[in-house]
Amino acid sequence: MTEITAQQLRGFHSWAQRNIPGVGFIVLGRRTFGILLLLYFLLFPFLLLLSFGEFARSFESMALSVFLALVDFDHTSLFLRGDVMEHWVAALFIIVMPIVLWHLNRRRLRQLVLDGDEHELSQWTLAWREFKKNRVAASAMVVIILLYTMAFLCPFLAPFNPNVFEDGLVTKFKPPLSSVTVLQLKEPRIRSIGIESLQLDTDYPSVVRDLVLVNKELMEENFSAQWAVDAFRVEGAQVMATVKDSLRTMPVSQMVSTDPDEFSGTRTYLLGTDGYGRDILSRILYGSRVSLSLGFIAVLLSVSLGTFVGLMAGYFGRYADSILMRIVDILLAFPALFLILIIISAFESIAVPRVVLIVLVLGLTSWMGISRLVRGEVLSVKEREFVIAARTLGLGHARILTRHILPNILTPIIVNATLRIGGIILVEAALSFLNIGVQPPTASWGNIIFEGKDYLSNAWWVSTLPGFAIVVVVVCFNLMGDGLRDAFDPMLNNERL
Amino acid sequence: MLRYIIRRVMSAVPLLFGLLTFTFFIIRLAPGDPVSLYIQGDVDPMFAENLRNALGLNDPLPVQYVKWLKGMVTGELGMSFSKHAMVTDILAATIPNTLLLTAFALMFNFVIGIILGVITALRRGSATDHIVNVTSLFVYSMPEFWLGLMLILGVSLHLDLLPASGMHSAMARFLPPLDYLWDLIQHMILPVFVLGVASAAATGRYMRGSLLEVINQDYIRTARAKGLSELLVIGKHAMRNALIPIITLLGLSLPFLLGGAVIVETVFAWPGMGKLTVDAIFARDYPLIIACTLVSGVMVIVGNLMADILYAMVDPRIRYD
Repeated sequence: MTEITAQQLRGFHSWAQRNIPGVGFIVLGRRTFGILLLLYFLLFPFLLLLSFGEFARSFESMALSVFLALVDFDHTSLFLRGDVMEHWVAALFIIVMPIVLWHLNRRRLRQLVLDGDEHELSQWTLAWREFKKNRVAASAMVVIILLYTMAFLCPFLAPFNPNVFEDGLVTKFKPPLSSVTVLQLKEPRIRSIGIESLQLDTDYPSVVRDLVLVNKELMEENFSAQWAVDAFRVEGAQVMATVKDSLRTMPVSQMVSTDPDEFSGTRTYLLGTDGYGRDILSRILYGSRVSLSLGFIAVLLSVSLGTFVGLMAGYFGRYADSILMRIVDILLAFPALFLILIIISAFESIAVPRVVLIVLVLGLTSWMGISRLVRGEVLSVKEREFVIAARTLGLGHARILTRHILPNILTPIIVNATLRIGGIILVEAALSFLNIGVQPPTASWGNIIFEGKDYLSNAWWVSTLPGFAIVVVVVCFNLMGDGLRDAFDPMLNNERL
Repeated sequence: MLRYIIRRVMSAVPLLFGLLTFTFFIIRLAPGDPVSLYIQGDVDPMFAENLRNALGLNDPLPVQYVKWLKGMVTGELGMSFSKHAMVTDILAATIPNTLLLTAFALMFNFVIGIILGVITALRRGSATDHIVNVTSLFVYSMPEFWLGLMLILGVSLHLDLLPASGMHSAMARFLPPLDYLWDLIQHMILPVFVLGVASAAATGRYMRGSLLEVINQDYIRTARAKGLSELLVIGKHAMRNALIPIITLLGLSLPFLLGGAVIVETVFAWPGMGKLTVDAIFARDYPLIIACTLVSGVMVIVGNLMADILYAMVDPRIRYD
């Protein structure tokens, strides 16, 4: 953008209207959108203030690790830990997302102020406008954005560690909204394993020491220096605690204070706990990452593959067409779930993480529908004048395919992909439920349900609650897909079938 | 007509052939040596080599392929690792159970789906229409296994109305025939419902669309103008045409039902092919897994074939030659 436009923008609005996402839209009369954007934007500074310590430590850990990786690349696998990197991602997300929002907000405002709303009536603009009118689909999209945000930020949002079951005897199978008595300790009883023992042969021992320290703090943040007990009393210098049926003691000196009223408290489980005493809410939050990312990546893979095959079959026709479409027929003849089961069982011994295997299998077994769709679209588009013109000009096949045909068939592909994500999430959950999906202790919605299914009669909440999460996500994706289809295809609007 | 049927059957043959080839290459691509599944520990390498020779694993790939194909076509599916029985015998015991479940689910799917579709199409825009549409959306977005668990929780455990799992009660063998049947029906209600309800929601949606399209056509207006009763107009004139696309769904819904059977049979401990497959996978019982996959593939192909033939019979516009 040129200098003049920036000046114009400055003339119209105050600093706050320009730079705080959402405010400008509220002033311009787009209330709902503006308020939603503003609230979403404010979420990030709010979270930053709420857990600033964790945030700072995440960055410190990241900076130290990056430094060590630069000076000593060979040992990176020793100090890179998945659970620590989760914190990096969340911390980065808190920083990057507001900047992205700020940038998008400014760009859109500039467009609005300069050209009214008429700057470019492309197919996308029209479709977006149509989509926004559809309240249900737009709300579904808002929910999906929030869910993905939650998935990114789950190390900061989850109230407890999703995998630690230190006081399982006391906390197991607590119904939703129930509390247990906890004693506040000076030091966490559980140490994260493997962090302290890091032995690195580098020229920077102090950096390694710092990294170990900060990683330990980061990990123990979620371990909570608490001891959950059924009941307790103080006798002299000892705390006598009842744990299940046994009596255990601990010196009062290990508590945060000597006053029983000060060192005892309660811990509330919003959605209850499972058979190991792990918090269901935290597990659902962590599990959302598996379902949401897996669904998205698998669909990306299957759509790319399906589009490629469809383009080839439709564009080159003849032998390519008949061979590829016969393969599609054969693959469609397999019930998809059987195909997935047989491939996973055949390849489970190879050295690939289970999540990657599942993404690959789900992606490679669901592209057939897309390729049929794309082939049909290509067959109709390739006879149009602009394609013939491009061919007459002597353009290569690759260029015609990517520049002339693909852009014209993109909308049905996008709509179809959105509608597919829900289905893929359901299949992934089913695999986890059959216990061949994501392996415990990594939480996924499917395997939380699996773990709770044998305790339906005495702990209904374990299996019930993650199911609601799945339903909400799939319903939202389906609604959004329907909305996109209606938006891209205005002819359908009159007759919503 | 006969010629059409013969031609469709003939075109299913390469599909079956492709299915067999595909299955063969999946096993060959899988890492690991099949012989190592039979023998364990420190066995004499010569013994393993002899076994490999005996099983024909040292033959060139095309020879192996032809031999394997011959076995499959003649019905020699081999011996199950985990169950110590012929795969064909095991399948013969479980396939009827799955077919029972799938057939009733298919019926449920179409009867309920068509009824819902007709009601919502005729009362388009009404409260009923909206309620059915929203409910369908939720049912369609629900994991089958979760719905099953929730029904077990509500109907079986809390209300104690229906049995939670299995196909027969423990003492069912000693019951008189009618009670035996009633016992079976009680065990079938929940699995059939769970298996059929999601596809019923989808069928309902298609039926609604299809009927709406037909209702707006001229010949329906003509029928109304002639003074025919609404029942006759919808039931005879409109339904005949609206049902045609639904028949295609019959073939399309089979893979979903068979896939769903894997889940539903596991949830309800139904002794069918789906549960067998899952058990076989955990036992790494390759011959059984391959056989289950093949049988389900064949079922889908046959189902599609039947749907196509039915389609041609119902719709006179399709030419047979």
